[in-house]
Amino acid sequence: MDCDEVRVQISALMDDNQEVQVKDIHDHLGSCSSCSEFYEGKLKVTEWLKEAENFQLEPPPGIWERIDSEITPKPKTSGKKPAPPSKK
Amino acid sequence: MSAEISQSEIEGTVKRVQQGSVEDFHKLYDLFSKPIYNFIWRLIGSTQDAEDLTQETFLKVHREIKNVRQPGQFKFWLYRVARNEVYQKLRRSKKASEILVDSTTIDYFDFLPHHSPDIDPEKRALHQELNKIISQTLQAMAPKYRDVFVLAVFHKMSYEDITQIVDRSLLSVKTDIYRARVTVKEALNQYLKIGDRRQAIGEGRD
Repeated sequence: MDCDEVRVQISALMDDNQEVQVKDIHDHLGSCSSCSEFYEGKLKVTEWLKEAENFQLEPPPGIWERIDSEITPKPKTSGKKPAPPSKK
Repeated sequence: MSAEISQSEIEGTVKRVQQGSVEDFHKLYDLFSKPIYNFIWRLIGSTQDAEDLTQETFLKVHREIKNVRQPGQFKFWLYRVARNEVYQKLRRSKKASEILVDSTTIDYFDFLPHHSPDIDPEKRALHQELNKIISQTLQAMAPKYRDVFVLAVFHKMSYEDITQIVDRSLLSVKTDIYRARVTVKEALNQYLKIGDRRQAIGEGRD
């Protein structure tokens, strides 16, 4: 395999492509510093992407409070106990 | 905190919400608020907008859940509502067309000042940097690439499930995810090269 072919294969490898000739890549990397560098770079990018994939933010707690205040049925004010004591 | 619950439990919960149970709606919120908040945040790139739109999404869901005929499809419908909210917001603010690709001109990205305090500082810095690059890249992408990429990569959804949310063919979803992935990797690659160059210059000076 020449350098171009190896690089295509390396990219496929990073995308979890099953049909990659791992041994051929390995052999080539042993004797080609430029492709080794390319491989290291790709590896880092893949690791970074994995790292970012697992990152999640927690939603701020205030969201539910605001939703709840809109959807919870308000207690009826007309009824037995009109709360506010206007006269003592 | 969202515990894992089965599909049939979700269906039961949705049915009880349809009959007016606020308690069960809270259960649905607990289950889905985190993924939905993160979905919106990835699409829109701002935590403040993500907060507002998550609220809007769940309020809309509460208003319209009675019209859901297949409670088993609730999750897909919920993501569709969230996605619609995002695109309406983008259209309103015309943000989609105003995004600048040049990373030096994008400073709208606001990032977790108070979230995830347990992450160690080095990892936090890496996350911050990574998410910044990814966010910038996502914002510069056409929406049709952005949503499918976010669902596949950050929400680990199957391509089949994604088709239910975005209402596009399996082939189109597959192709768009592939293209988006290439774009994001290119951006990370580019960043890596710049970083290496800076490091090399720094080392040269010493």
